Amino acid sequence: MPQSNIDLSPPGRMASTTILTLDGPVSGVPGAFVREVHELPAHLPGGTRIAPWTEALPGALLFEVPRIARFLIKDGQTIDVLVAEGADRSAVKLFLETSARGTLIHQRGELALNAVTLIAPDWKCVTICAPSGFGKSTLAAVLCRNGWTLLADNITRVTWSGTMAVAWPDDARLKLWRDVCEAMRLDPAKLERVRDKMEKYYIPGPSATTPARLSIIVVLRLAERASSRALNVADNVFGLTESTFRTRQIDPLGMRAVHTRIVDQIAGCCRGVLLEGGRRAPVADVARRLAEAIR
Amino acid sequence: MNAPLVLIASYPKSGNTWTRIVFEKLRHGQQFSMNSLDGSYQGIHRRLLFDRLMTVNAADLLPDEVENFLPELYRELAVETSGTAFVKVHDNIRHTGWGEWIYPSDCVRAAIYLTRHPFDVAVSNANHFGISIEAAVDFLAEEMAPGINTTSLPESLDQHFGTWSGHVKSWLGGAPYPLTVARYEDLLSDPVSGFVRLARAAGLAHDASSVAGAVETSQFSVLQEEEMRSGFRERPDTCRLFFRSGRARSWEGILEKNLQDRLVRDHGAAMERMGYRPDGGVSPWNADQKFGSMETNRTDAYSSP
Repeated sequence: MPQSNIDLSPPGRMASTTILTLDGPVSGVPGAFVREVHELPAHLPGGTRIAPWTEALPGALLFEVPRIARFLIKDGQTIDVLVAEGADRSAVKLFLETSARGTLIHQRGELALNAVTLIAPDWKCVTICAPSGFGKSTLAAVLCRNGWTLLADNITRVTWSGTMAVAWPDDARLKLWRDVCEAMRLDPAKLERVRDKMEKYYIPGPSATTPARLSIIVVLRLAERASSRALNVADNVFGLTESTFRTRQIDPLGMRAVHTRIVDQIAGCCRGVLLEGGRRAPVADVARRLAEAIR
Repeated sequence: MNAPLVLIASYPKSGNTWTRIVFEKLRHGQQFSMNSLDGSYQGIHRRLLFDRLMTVNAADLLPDEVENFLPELYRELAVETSGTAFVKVHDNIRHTGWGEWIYPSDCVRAAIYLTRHPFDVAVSNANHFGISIEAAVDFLAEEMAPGINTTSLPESLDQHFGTWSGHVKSWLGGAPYPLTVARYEDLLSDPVSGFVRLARAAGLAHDASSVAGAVETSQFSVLQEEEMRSGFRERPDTCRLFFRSGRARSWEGILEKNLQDRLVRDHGAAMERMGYRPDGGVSPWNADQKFGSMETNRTDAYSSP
Protein backbone atom coordinates (compact mmCIF):
# COMPACT_ATOMS: atom_id res chain seq x y z
CA MET A 1 0.00 0.00 0.00
CA PRO A 2 1.42 3.41 -0.87
CA GLN A 3 2.46 5.40 2.16
CA SER A 4 1.91 9.08 2.53
CA ASN A 5 4.66 11.21 3.97
CA ILE A 6 2.18 13.86 4.91
CA ASP A 7 2.12 15.66 8.25
CA LEU A 8 -1.35 15.67 9.64
CA SER A 9 -2.66 18.11 12.16
CA PRO A 10 -5.01 16.74 14.77
CA PRO A 11 -8.59 16.81 13.51
CA GLY A 12 -10.32 20.08 14.29
CA ARG A 13 -7.13 22.06 14.53
CA MET A 14 -6.20 24.47 11.80
CA ALA A 15 -2.81 23.92 10.22
CA SER A 16 -1.14 26.34 7.86
CA THR A 17 -3.22 29.37 7.07
CA THR A 18 -0.74 30.92 4.69
CA ILE A 19 -2.85 32.47 1.98
CA LEU A 20 -1.60 33.39 -1.44
CA THR A 21 -0.92 37.09 -1.22
CA LEU A 22 -0.29 39.24 -4.25
CA ASP A 23 3.44 39.48 -3.62
CA GLY A 24 5.09 36.28 -2.53
CA PRO A 25 5.46 32.61 -3.30
CA VAL A 26 2.92 30.69 -5.35
CA SER A 27 1.43 28.21 -2.94
CA GLY A 28 2.51 24.65 -3.49
CA VAL A 29 4.95 25.58 -6.27
CA PRO A 30 8.34 26.07 -4.64
CA GLY A 31 10.48 28.63 -6.42
CA ALA A 32 7.62 30.36 -8.21
CA PHE A 33 6.62 33.90 -7.30
CA VAL A 34 3.83 36.40 -7.69
CA ARG A 35 4.73 40.03 -8.22
CA GLU A 36 2.34 42.92 -8.25
CA VAL A 37 3.44 45.28 -11.01
CA HIS A 38 2.36 48.70 -12.16
CA GLU A 39 2.50 48.02 -15.89
CA LEU A 40 1.76 45.10 -18.13
CA PRO A 41 1.30 45.14 -21.89
CA ALA A 42 -2.23 44.81 -23.23
CA HIS A 43 -0.98 42.19 -25.70
CA LEU A 44 1.66 39.52 -25.67
CA PRO A 45 4.26 40.24 -28.39
CA GLY A 46 4.30 37.25 -30.72
CA GLY A 47 1.40 35.67 -28.87
CA THR A 48 -1.75 34.13 -30.29
CA ARG A 49 -5.23 34.81 -29.04
CA ILE A 50 -6.44 31.53 -27.52
CA ALA A 51 -9.55 32.61 -25.61
CA PRO A 52 -11.34 35.84 -24.76
CA TRP A 53 -8.85 38.28 -23.24
CA THR A 54 -6.15 35.60 -23.36
CA GLU A 55 -2.99 35.33 -25.47
CA ALA A 56 -0.25 32.74 -25.31
CA LEU A 57 3.02 31.52 -26.76
CA PRO A 58 5.43 28.87 -25.51
CA GLY A 59 6.57 30.01 -22.08
CA ALA A 60 4.14 32.89 -21.64
CA LEU A 61 0.44 33.51 -21.23
CA LEU A 62 -1.29 36.84 -20.71
CA PHE A 63 -4.88 37.04 -19.60
CA GLU A 64 -7.17 39.66 -18.27
CA VAL A 65 -10.25 39.57 -16.13
CA PRO A 66 -11.77 42.87 -17.24
CA ARG A 67 -12.00 45.51 -14.52
CA ILE A 68 -10.21 43.22 -12.05
CA ALA A 69 -6.65 42.41 -13.14
CA ARG A 70 -4.28 41.40 -15.89
CA PHE A 71 -1.92 38.47 -15.36
CA LEU A 72 1.32 37.53 -17.14
CA ILE A 73 2.55 34.01 -16.37
CA LYS A 74 6.06 33.22 -17.58
CA ASP A 75 8.26 30.15 -17.76
CA GLY A 76 6.49 28.37 -14.96
CA GLN A 77 8.25 30.72 -12.57
CA THR A 78 6.55 34.07 -12.26
CA ILE A 79 3.09 35.55 -12.22
CA ASP A 80 3.03 39.30 -12.73
CA VAL A 81 -0.25 40.89 -11.83
CA LEU A 82 -1.54 44.34 -12.65
CA VAL A 83 -4.55 45.16 -10.50
CA ALA A 84 -7.23 47.33 -12.08
CA GLU A 85 -7.99 50.54 -10.28
CA GLY A 86 -10.59 50.01 -7.61
CA ALA A 87 -10.68 46.25 -8.12
CA ASP A 88 -11.63 43.89 -5.32
CA ARG A 89 -8.26 42.46 -4.25
CA SER A 90 -9.84 39.33 -2.86
CA ALA A 91 -11.03 38.62 -6.41
CA VAL A 92 -7.51 39.15 -7.72
CA LYS A 93 -6.24 36.67 -5.15
CA LEU A 94 -8.87 34.17 -6.20
CA PHE A 95 -7.89 34.34 -9.88
CA LEU A 96 -4.22 34.02 -8.86
CA GLU A 97 -5.01 30.85 -6.92
CA THR A 98 -7.01 29.33 -9.75
CA SER A 99 -6.46 30.43 -13.35
CA ALA A 100 -2.98 31.95 -13.03
CA ARG A 101 -1.65 29.12 -10.87
CA GLY A 102 -3.12 26.50 -13.21
CA THR A 103 -1.35 28.04 -16.19
CA LEU A 104 1.91 28.24 -14.28
CA ILE A 105 1.69 24.52 -13.53
CA HIS A 106 1.09 23.80 -17.23
CA GLN A 107 4.18 25.77 -18.14
CA ARG A 108 6.26 23.63 -15.77
CA GLY A 109 5.20 20.47 -17.57
CA GLU A 110 3.28 19.28 -14.55
CA LEU A 111 -0.31 18.29 -14.22
CA ALA A 112 -2.90 20.88 -13.14
CA LEU A 113 -6.10 19.08 -12.27
CA ASN A 114 -9.53 20.47 -11.64
CA ALA A 115 -9.60 18.51 -8.43
CA VAL A 116 -9.78 18.61 -4.69
CA THR A 117 -7.24 16.37 -3.02
CA LEU A 118 -7.44 14.85 0.44
CA ILE A 119 -5.68 12.44 2.71
CA ALA A 120 -7.95 9.62 3.83
CA PRO A 121 -7.87 8.38 7.44
CA ASP A 122 -5.76 5.41 6.28
CA TRP A 123 -3.31 7.93 4.78
CA LYS A 124 -4.08 7.26 1.16
CA CYS A 125 -3.87 10.42 -0.92
CA VAL A 126 -6.99 10.73 -3.06
CA THR A 127 -7.67 13.33 -5.74
CA ILE A 128 -11.30 13.92 -6.70
CA CYS A 129 -11.56 15.31 -10.23
CA ALA A 130 -14.61 17.16 -11.52
CA PRO A 131 -15.57 20.46 -13.11
CA SER A 132 -16.87 23.21 -10.88
CA GLY A 133 -20.50 22.76 -9.99
CA PHE A 134 -20.31 18.98 -9.56
CA GLY A 135 -20.11 19.08 -5.78
CA LYS A 136 -16.40 18.45 -5.13
CA SER A 137 -16.10 20.92 -2.28
CA THR A 138 -19.28 19.80 -0.56
CA LEU A 139 -18.09 16.21 -0.74
CA ALA A 140 -14.68 17.25 0.57
CA ALA A 141 -16.30 19.10 3.48
CA VAL A 142 -18.21 15.98 4.47
CA LEU A 143 -15.08 13.86 4.12
CA CYS A 144 -13.15 16.28 6.35
CA ARG A 145 -15.82 15.82 8.99
CA ASN A 146 -15.21 12.09 8.66
CA GLY A 147 -11.52 12.43 9.47
CA TRP A 148 -10.04 13.16 6.06
CA THR A 149 -7.56 16.02 5.69
CA LEU A 150 -7.54 18.54 2.89
CA LEU A 151 -4.41 18.79 0.78
CA ALA A 152 -5.43 20.92 -2.19
CA ASP A 153 -8.61 22.63 -3.28
CA ASN A 154 -9.76 23.57 -6.74
CA ILE A 155 -6.52 23.17 -8.72
CA THR A 156 -4.33 20.28 -7.64
CA ARG A 157 -0.71 20.27 -8.77
CA VAL A 158 0.57 16.77 -9.52
CA THR A 159 4.18 16.03 -10.44
CA TRP A 160 6.03 12.89 -11.49
CA SER A 161 9.01 12.00 -9.32
CA GLY A 162 10.35 9.33 -11.65
CA THR A 163 8.68 6.55 -9.70
CA MET A 164 5.47 7.99 -8.31
CA ALA A 165 2.87 10.72 -8.65
CA VAL A 166 3.10 13.47 -6.06
CA ALA A 167 0.24 15.80 -5.09
CA TRP A 168 1.21 19.16 -3.67
CA PRO A 169 -0.49 21.11 -0.90
CA ASP A 170 -1.70 24.59 -1.76
CA ASP A 171 -2.42 26.06 1.68
CA ALA A 172 -5.91 24.91 0.90
CA ARG A 173 -9.05 26.02 2.58
CA LEU A 174 -12.32 24.75 1.28
CA LYS A 175 -14.64 27.28 -0.25
CA LEU A 176 -18.32 26.68 0.33
CA TRP A 177 -21.43 28.54 -0.73
CA ARG A 178 -23.76 29.88 1.91
CA ASP A 179 -26.36 27.16 1.44
CA VAL A 180 -23.79 24.44 2.04
CA CYS A 181 -22.34 26.31 5.05
CA GLU A 182 -25.79 26.50 6.57
CA ALA A 183 -26.51 22.85 5.84
CA MET A 184 -23.29 22.02 7.66
CA ARG A 185 -24.21 24.34 10.54
CA LEU A 186 -21.38 26.75 9.85
CA ASP A 187 -22.20 30.37 10.54
CA PRO A 188 -21.28 32.46 7.47
CA ALA A 189 -21.11 35.57 9.66
CA LYS A 190 -18.00 34.09 11.28
CA LEU A 191 -16.31 33.11 8.04
CA GLU A 192 -14.13 35.00 5.58
CA ARG A 193 -15.73 35.70 2.22
CA VAL A 194 -13.92 34.43 -0.85
CA ARG A 195 -14.78 37.68 -2.64
CA ASP A 196 -16.58 40.85 -1.72
CA LYS A 197 -20.29 40.49 -2.52
CA MET A 198 -19.95 36.74 -3.03
CA GLU A 199 -21.82 34.38 -0.69
CA LYS A 200 -18.98 31.90 -0.73
CA TYR A 201 -16.75 31.44 2.26
CA TYR A 202 -13.38 30.03 3.24
CA ILE A 203 -13.80 27.16 5.66
CA PRO A 204 -11.04 26.79 8.24
CA GLY A 205 -9.96 23.27 8.98
CA PRO A 206 -6.96 21.02 9.13
CA SER A 207 -4.97 20.98 5.96
CA ALA A 208 -1.89 19.07 4.95
CA THR A 209 1.32 21.00 4.47
CA THR A 210 3.69 18.61 2.77
CA PRO A 211 3.45 16.78 -0.57
CA ALA A 212 1.93 13.33 -0.63
CA ARG A 213 2.24 10.30 -2.84
CA LEU A 214 -0.92 10.27 -4.92
CA SER A 215 -2.46 6.83 -4.92
CA ILE A 216 -6.06 7.15 -6.11
CA ILE A 217 -7.67 9.20 -8.84
CA VAL A 218 -11.42 9.61 -8.48
CA VAL A 219 -13.47 10.89 -11.40
CA LEU A 220 -16.70 12.35 -10.05
CA ARG A 221 -19.80 12.30 -12.26
CA LEU A 222 -23.32 13.58 -11.77
CA ALA A 223 -25.96 10.95 -11.09
CA GLU A 224 -29.02 10.68 -8.92
CA ARG A 225 -27.68 7.65 -7.06
CA ALA A 226 -24.27 7.17 -5.56
CA SER A 227 -22.24 4.31 -7.00
CA SER A 228 -18.66 3.54 -7.86
CA ARG A 229 -16.53 1.26 -9.97
CA ALA A 230 -12.87 0.77 -10.68
CA LEU A 231 -11.31 2.35 -13.76
CA ASN A 232 -8.62 0.78 -15.88
CA VAL A 233 -5.52 2.65 -17.00
CA ALA A 234 -7.09 3.77 -20.28
CA ASP A 235 -10.07 5.18 -18.37
CA ASN A 236 -7.62 6.82 -15.99
CA VAL A 237 -5.90 8.52 -18.91
CA PHE A 238 -9.24 9.72 -20.21
CA GLY A 239 -10.32 10.90 -16.77
CA LEU A 240 -7.10 12.83 -16.18
CA THR A 241 -7.20 14.35 -19.65
CA GLU A 242 -10.71 15.63 -19.29
CA SER A 243 -10.00 16.84 -15.75
CA THR A 244 -6.96 18.83 -16.75
CA PHE A 245 -7.21 22.54 -16.15
CA ARG A 246 -7.84 24.46 -19.41
CA THR A 247 -6.63 21.91 -21.93
CA ARG A 248 -6.97 24.57 -24.63
CA GLN A 249 -3.83 26.21 -23.25
CA ILE A 250 -1.60 23.17 -23.66
CA ASP A 251 -0.87 23.39 -27.40
CA PRO A 252 -0.28 27.16 -27.50
CA LEU A 253 2.07 26.79 -24.54
CA GLY A 254 3.98 24.14 -26.48
CA MET A 255 3.39 21.52 -23.78
CA ARG A 256 1.42 18.83 -25.61
CA ALA A 257 4.08 16.11 -25.63
CA VAL A 258 5.05 16.78 -22.03
CA HIS A 259 1.42 16.77 -20.96
CA THR A 260 0.66 13.51 -22.72
CA ARG A 261 3.66 11.88 -21.06
CA ILE A 262 2.83 12.97 -17.52
CA VAL A 263 -0.82 11.95 -17.91
CA ASP A 264 0.34 8.47 -19.00
CA GLN A 265 2.79 8.24 -16.12
CA ILE A 266 0.31 9.28 -13.48
CA ALA A 267 -2.57 7.24 -14.90
CA GLY A 268 -0.35 4.20 -14.91
CA CYS A 269 0.68 4.39 -11.28
CA CYS A 270 -2.61 5.33 -9.57
CA ARG A 271 -5.77 3.38 -8.97
CA GLY A 272 -8.75 4.88 -10.77
CA VAL A 273 -12.28 5.09 -9.42
CA LEU A 274 -15.40 6.35 -11.13
CA LEU A 275 -17.63 7.84 -8.46
CA GLU A 276 -21.17 8.60 -9.55
CA GLY A 277 -23.39 10.93 -7.62
CA GLY A 278 -21.87 14.37 -7.20
CA ARG A 279 -24.30 17.06 -6.19
CA ARG A 280 -27.34 15.19 -7.48
CA ALA A 281 -27.09 12.36 -4.95
CA PRO A 282 -27.15 12.63 -1.15
CA VAL A 283 -23.64 13.71 -0.25
CA ALA A 284 -23.42 11.31 2.71
CA ASP A 285 -24.11 8.42 0.31
CA VAL A 286 -21.44 9.66 -2.08
CA ALA A 287 -18.91 9.99 0.75
CA ARG A 288 -19.72 6.49 1.99
CA ARG A 289 -19.36 5.03 -1.50
CA LEU A 290 -16.00 6.72 -1.89
CA ALA A 291 -14.76 5.43 1.45
CA GLU A 292 -15.77 1.91 0.41
CA ALA A 293 -14.24 2.24 -3.05
CA ILE A 294 -10.77 3.20 -1.84
CA ARG A 295 -10.42 0.42 0.71
CA MET B 1 -17.08 35.98 -39.92
CA ASN B 2 -19.89 33.90 -41.34
CA ALA B 3 -22.06 33.88 -38.25
CA PRO B 4 -22.52 30.21 -37.31
CA LEU B 5 -24.99 30.39 -34.42
CA VAL B 6 -28.71 29.96 -34.90
CA LEU B 7 -30.65 30.70 -31.75
CA ILE B 8 -33.69 28.59 -30.96
CA ALA B 9 -35.32 30.84 -28.41
CA SER B 10 -38.39 30.39 -26.29
CA TYR B 11 -39.80 30.66 -22.84
CA PRO B 12 -39.34 27.18 -21.27
CA LYS B 13 -41.76 24.47 -22.41
CA SER B 14 -42.74 26.04 -25.69
CA GLY B 15 -41.46 23.54 -28.24
CA ASN B 16 -37.76 24.35 -28.17
CA THR B 17 -36.51 20.77 -27.77
CA TRP B 18 -38.94 19.42 -30.35
CA THR B 19 -37.71 21.99 -32.86
CA ARG B 20 -34.07 21.12 -32.25
CA ILE B 21 -34.78 17.42 -32.63
CA VAL B 22 -36.51 18.00 -35.98
CA PHE B 23 -33.59 20.16 -37.11
CA GLU B 24 -31.00 17.57 -36.09
CA LYS B 25 -32.94 14.84 -37.88
CA LEU B 26 -32.83 17.01 -40.98
CA ARG B 27 -29.08 17.37 -40.56
CA HIS B 28 -28.15 13.87 -39.46
CA GLY B 29 -30.97 11.61 -40.62
CA GLN B 30 -34.07 10.20 -39.07
CA GLN B 31 -32.17 7.79 -36.81
CA PHE B 32 -30.80 10.74 -34.85
CA SER B 33 -31.46 10.17 -31.15
CA MET B 34 -32.71 12.97 -28.95
CA ASN B 35 -29.99 12.01 -26.47
CA SER B 36 -27.42 13.03 -29.05
CA LEU B 37 -28.65 16.61 -29.09
CA ASP B 38 -25.80 19.03 -28.76
CA GLY B 39 -25.68 22.74 -28.82
CA SER B 40 -28.29 23.08 -26.14
CA TYR B 41 -25.80 24.53 -23.69
CA GLN B 42 -28.42 24.43 -21.00
CA GLY B 43 -28.19 23.31 -17.41
CA ILE B 44 -24.77 22.12 -16.36
CA HIS B 45 -23.67 22.18 -20.01
CA ARG B 46 -23.81 25.97 -20.08
CA ARG B 47 -21.52 26.18 -17.05
CA LEU B 48 -19.18 23.60 -18.60
CA LEU B 49 -19.12 25.56 -21.85
CA PHE B 50 -18.22 28.73 -19.98
CA ASP B 51 -15.45 27.05 -18.01
CA ARG B 52 -14.06 25.35 -21.11
CA LEU B 53 -13.96 28.41 -23.33
CA MET B 54 -13.16 31.19 -20.90
CA THR B 55 -9.94 31.52 -18.89
CA VAL B 56 -11.71 31.92 -15.55
CA ASN B 57 -14.43 29.78 -14.02
CA ALA B 58 -17.93 31.14 -13.86
CA ALA B 59 -18.11 30.02 -10.22
CA ASP B 60 -15.41 32.58 -9.36
CA LEU B 61 -17.36 35.44 -10.93
CA LEU B 62 -20.26 37.48 -9.62
CA PRO B 63 -23.54 37.06 -11.53
CA ASP B 64 -23.25 40.45 -13.22
CA GLU B 65 -19.70 39.61 -14.32
CA VAL B 66 -20.86 36.32 -15.82
CA GLU B 67 -23.58 38.22 -17.67
CA ASN B 68 -21.04 40.75 -18.94
CA PHE B 69 -18.77 37.95 -20.18
CA LEU B 70 -21.52 36.09 -22.08
CA PRO B 71 -21.09 37.91 -25.40
CA GLU B 72 -17.42 36.90 -25.47
CA LEU B 73 -18.38 33.35 -24.57
CA TYR B 74 -20.72 33.11 -27.56
CA ARG B 75 -18.15 34.74 -29.84
CA GLU B 76 -15.71 32.07 -28.73
CA LEU B 77 -18.29 29.36 -29.36
CA ALA B 78 -18.76 30.81 -32.84
CA VAL B 79 -15.01 30.67 -33.45
CA GLU B 80 -14.84 26.97 -32.64
CA THR B 81 -18.04 26.03 -34.48
CA SER B 82 -17.74 24.61 -37.94
CA GLY B 83 -21.00 24.74 -39.86
CA THR B 84 -24.00 25.74 -37.82
CA ALA B 85 -24.68 25.41 -34.09
CA PHE B 86 -28.27 25.49 -32.91
CA VAL B 87 -28.22 27.12 -29.51
CA LYS B 88 -31.15 26.59 -27.19
CA VAL B 89 -32.02 29.88 -25.51
CA HIS B 90 -34.47 30.54 -22.71
CA ASP B 91 -33.16 34.00 -21.84
CA ASN B 92 -35.18 37.01 -22.75
CA ILE B 93 -33.12 39.03 -25.19
CA ARG B 94 -31.38 41.92 -23.50
CA HIS B 95 -28.22 43.93 -23.13
CA THR B 96 -25.54 43.14 -20.59
CA GLY B 97 -24.49 45.71 -18.04
CA TRP B 98 -21.68 46.61 -20.44
CA GLY B 99 -24.19 47.40 -23.16
CA GLU B 100 -23.81 44.41 -25.48
CA TRP B 101 -26.49 41.96 -26.56
CA ILE B 102 -25.96 38.81 -24.50
CA TYR B 103 -25.94 36.89 -27.79
CA PRO B 104 -23.97 39.29 -29.98
CA SER B 105 -25.32 39.86 -33.46
CA ASP B 106 -21.91 39.38 -35.09
CA CYS B 107 -21.98 35.65 -34.33
CA VAL B 108 -25.71 34.96 -34.72
CA ARG B 109 -27.00 34.24 -38.21
CA ALA B 110 -30.66 33.92 -37.34
CA ALA B 111 -33.03 33.47 -34.45
CA ILE B 112 -36.17 31.40 -34.29
CA TYR B 113 -38.59 32.43 -31.59
CA LEU B 114 -41.21 29.95 -30.42
CA THR B 115 -44.23 30.78 -28.32
CA ARG B 116 -47.00 28.75 -26.71
CA HIS B 117 -50.25 29.72 -25.05
CA PRO B 118 -49.38 30.77 -21.47
CA PHE B 119 -52.13 28.52 -20.09
CA ASP B 120 -50.23 25.52 -21.43
CA VAL B 121 -46.87 27.03 -20.53
CA ALA B 122 -47.94 27.40 -16.89
CA VAL B 123 -49.18 23.82 -16.64
CA SER B 124 -46.14 22.42 -18.40
CA ASN B 125 -43.72 24.47 -16.29
CA ALA B 126 -45.40 23.22 -13.12
CA ASN B 127 -44.54 19.69 -14.19
CA HIS B 128 -41.09 20.61 -15.46
CA PHE B 129 -39.95 22.45 -12.34
CA GLY B 130 -41.88 20.30 -9.88
CA ILE B 131 -43.96 23.18 -8.53
CA SER B 132 -47.67 23.78 -8.06
CA ILE B 133 -49.77 25.22 -10.87
CA GLU B 134 -50.30 28.35 -8.80
CA ALA B 135 -46.55 28.74 -8.26
CA ALA B 136 -46.05 28.30 -12.01
CA VAL B 137 -48.55 31.08 -12.70
CA ASP B 138 -46.65 33.26 -10.21
CA PHE B 139 -43.40 32.32 -11.95
CA LEU B 140 -44.68 33.51 -15.32
CA ALA B 141 -45.27 36.93 -13.77
CA GLU B 142 -41.97 37.23 -11.91
CA GLU B 143 -39.48 39.72 -13.26
CA MET B 144 -36.48 38.27 -11.37
CA ALA B 145 -33.35 40.18 -12.21
CA PRO B 146 -30.29 38.21 -13.35
CA GLY B 147 -28.17 37.04 -10.46
CA ILE B 148 -30.93 36.91 -7.93
CA ASN B 149 -29.62 33.60 -6.64
CA THR B 150 -26.33 34.39 -4.96
CA THR B 151 -26.33 32.07 -1.99
CA SER B 152 -25.64 28.84 -3.80
CA LEU B 153 -23.97 27.59 -6.94
CA PRO B 154 -26.67 26.39 -9.30
CA GLU B 155 -25.76 23.71 -11.81
CA SER B 156 -26.56 26.07 -14.64
CA LEU B 157 -25.44 29.61 -15.14
CA ASP B 158 -28.16 32.09 -14.42
CA GLN B 159 -30.74 32.39 -17.12
CA HIS B 160 -33.07 35.32 -17.01
CA PHE B 161 -36.47 34.56 -18.49
CA GLY B 162 -38.26 37.55 -17.03
CA THR B 163 -42.04 37.43 -17.21
CA TRP B 164 -43.74 35.48 -19.95
CA SER B 165 -45.06 38.64 -21.56
CA GLY B 166 -41.75 40.45 -21.06
CA HIS B 167 -40.06 37.54 -22.82
CA VAL B 168 -42.38 37.87 -25.81
CA LYS B 169 -41.96 41.61 -25.81
CA SER B 170 -38.16 41.44 -25.71
CA TRP B 171 -37.87 39.05 -28.66
CA LEU B 172 -40.56 40.59 -30.82
CA GLY B 173 -39.62 44.12 -29.97
CA GLY B 174 -35.97 44.34 -30.70
CA ALA B 175 -33.95 41.20 -31.30
CA PRO B 176 -31.01 42.29 -33.44
CA TYR B 177 -31.08 39.22 -35.73
CA PRO B 178 -33.17 38.01 -38.64
CA LEU B 179 -36.10 36.72 -36.61
CA THR B 180 -38.63 34.04 -37.47
CA VAL B 181 -41.51 33.57 -35.06
CA ALA B 182 -43.60 30.44 -34.76
CA ARG B 183 -46.39 29.39 -32.44
CA TYR B 184 -46.22 25.90 -30.98
CA GLU B 185 -49.89 25.41 -31.71
CA ASP B 186 -49.38 26.15 -35.42
CA LEU B 187 -46.48 23.70 -35.55
CA LEU B 188 -48.72 21.07 -34.00
CA SER B 189 -51.56 21.65 -36.41
CA ASP B 190 -49.43 21.68 -39.56
CA PRO B 191 -45.93 20.54 -38.64
CA VAL B 192 -44.60 19.98 -42.13
CA SER B 193 -45.42 23.47 -43.39
CA GLY B 194 -44.29 24.95 -40.10
CA PHE B 195 -40.93 23.21 -40.06
CA VAL B 196 -40.32 23.84 -43.77
CA ARG B 197 -40.56 27.51 -42.91
CA LEU B 198 -38.29 27.19 -39.86
CA ALA B 199 -35.73 25.04 -41.70
CA ARG B 200 -35.55 27.69 -44.40
CA ALA B 201 -35.01 30.37 -41.76
CA ALA B 202 -32.28 28.30 -40.11
CA GLY B 203 -30.49 27.74 -43.41
CA LEU B 204 -30.97 23.97 -43.28
CA ALA B 205 -30.95 21.98 -46.49
CA HIS B 206 -34.40 20.45 -46.77
CA ASP B 207 -37.38 19.62 -48.91
CA ALA B 208 -40.96 18.82 -47.98
CA SER B 209 -40.25 15.10 -48.04
CA SER B 210 -37.23 15.27 -45.68
CA VAL B 211 -39.14 17.56 -43.34
CA ALA B 212 -42.11 15.17 -43.37
CA GLY B 213 -39.77 12.32 -42.44
CA ALA B 214 -38.14 14.29 -39.64
CA VAL B 215 -41.55 15.32 -38.30
CA GLU B 216 -42.86 11.76 -38.51
CA THR B 217 -39.99 10.41 -36.41
CA SER B 218 -40.23 13.32 -33.95
CA GLN B 219 -43.87 12.83 -33.08
CA PHE B 220 -44.56 13.34 -29.43
CA SER B 221 -45.43 9.70 -28.85
CA VAL B 222 -42.12 8.64 -30.41
CA LEU B 223 -40.13 11.03 -28.22
CA GLN B 224 -42.03 10.04 -25.11
CA GLU B 225 -41.43 6.37 -25.83
CA GLU B 226 -37.73 7.00 -26.37
CA GLU B 227 -37.56 8.91 -23.10
CA MET B 228 -39.27 6.08 -21.21
CA ARG B 229 -36.91 3.58 -22.81
CA SER B 230 -33.60 5.44 -22.62
CA GLY B 231 -34.17 8.55 -20.54
CA PHE B 232 -33.48 12.07 -21.72
CA ARG B 233 -30.41 13.89 -20.57
CA GLU B 234 -32.08 17.31 -20.67
CA ARG B 235 -34.73 16.21 -18.18
CA PRO B 236 -34.28 18.09 -14.92
CA ASP B 237 -34.39 16.26 -11.59
CA THR B 238 -37.61 18.05 -10.82
CA CYS B 239 -39.81 16.14 -13.25
CA ARG B 240 -40.44 12.49 -14.03
CA LEU B 241 -40.86 12.93 -17.78
CA PHE B 242 -39.56 15.77 -19.93
CA PHE B 243 -42.05 14.94 -22.67
CA ARG B 244 -45.28 15.22 -20.70
CA SER B 245 -48.21 16.13 -22.93
CA GLY B 246 -47.13 17.70 -26.19
CA ARG B 247 -50.50 19.00 -27.21
CA ALA B 248 -52.46 22.23 -27.27
CA ARG B 249 -55.04 22.88 -24.56
CA SER B 250 -53.22 20.56 -22.16
CA TRP B 251 -54.30 22.99 -19.43
CA GLU B 252 -57.95 21.92 -19.68
CA GLY B 253 -59.16 20.32 -16.50
CA ILE B 254 -55.98 21.37 -14.70
CA LEU B 255 -55.79 25.16 -14.72
CA GLU B 256 -58.46 26.68 -12.47
CA LYS B 257 -60.52 29.58 -13.79
CA ASN B 258 -59.05 32.04 -11.28
CA LEU B 259 -55.55 31.17 -12.49
CA GLN B 260 -56.63 31.56 -16.11
CA ASP B 261 -57.92 35.00 -15.20
CA ARG B 262 -54.65 35.88 -13.54
CA LEU B 263 -52.65 34.87 -16.60
CA VAL B 264 -54.89 37.03 -18.79
CA ARG B 265 -54.55 39.90 -16.35
CA ASP B 266 -50.77 39.55 -16.21
CA HIS B 267 -50.09 38.88 -19.88
CA GLY B 268 -53.11 40.06 -21.84
CA ALA B 269 -51.26 42.40 -24.19
CA ALA B 270 -48.69 39.79 -25.19
CA MET B 271 -51.38 37.13 -25.52
CA GLU B 272 -53.36 39.31 -27.83
CA ARG B 273 -50.25 40.10 -29.85
CA MET B 274 -49.64 36.38 -30.33
CA GLY B 275 -53.26 35.49 -31.01
CA TYR B 276 -53.72 33.64 -27.73
CA ARG B 277 -57.31 34.01 -26.62
CA PRO B 278 -58.44 34.49 -23.00
CA ASP B 279 -60.53 31.32 -23.33
CA GLY B 280 -57.36 29.31 -23.97
CA GLY B 281 -57.89 29.08 -27.71
CA VAL B 282 -55.72 30.30 -30.52
CA SER B 283 -56.78 32.82 -33.16
CA PRO B 284 -55.53 32.83 -36.75
CA TRP B 285 -52.29 34.72 -36.90
CA ASN B 286 -49.91 35.92 -39.58
CA ALA B 287 -46.54 34.39 -38.80
CA ASP B 288 -44.78 36.45 -41.45
CA GLN B 289 -45.87 39.82 -40.18
CA LYS B 290 -43.32 42.50 -39.37
CA PHE B 291 -42.37 42.63 -35.75
CA GLY B 292 -41.46 45.69 -33.79
CA SER B 293 -42.29 47.33 -30.52
CA MET B 294 -45.21 45.51 -29.00
CA GLU B 295 -48.47 47.31 -28.47
CA THR B 296 -49.33 47.52 -24.82
CA ASN B 297 -52.97 48.43 -25.23
CA ARG B 298 -55.29 45.50 -25.12
CA THR B 299 -58.77 45.09 -26.41
CA ASP B 300 -61.71 44.51 -24.14
CA ALA B 301 -61.50 40.73 -24.29
CA TYR B 302 -58.14 40.90 -22.52
CA SER B 303 -59.21 43.46 -19.91
CA SER B 304 -59.02 42.44 -16.32
CA PRO B 305 -61.76 39.97 -15.60
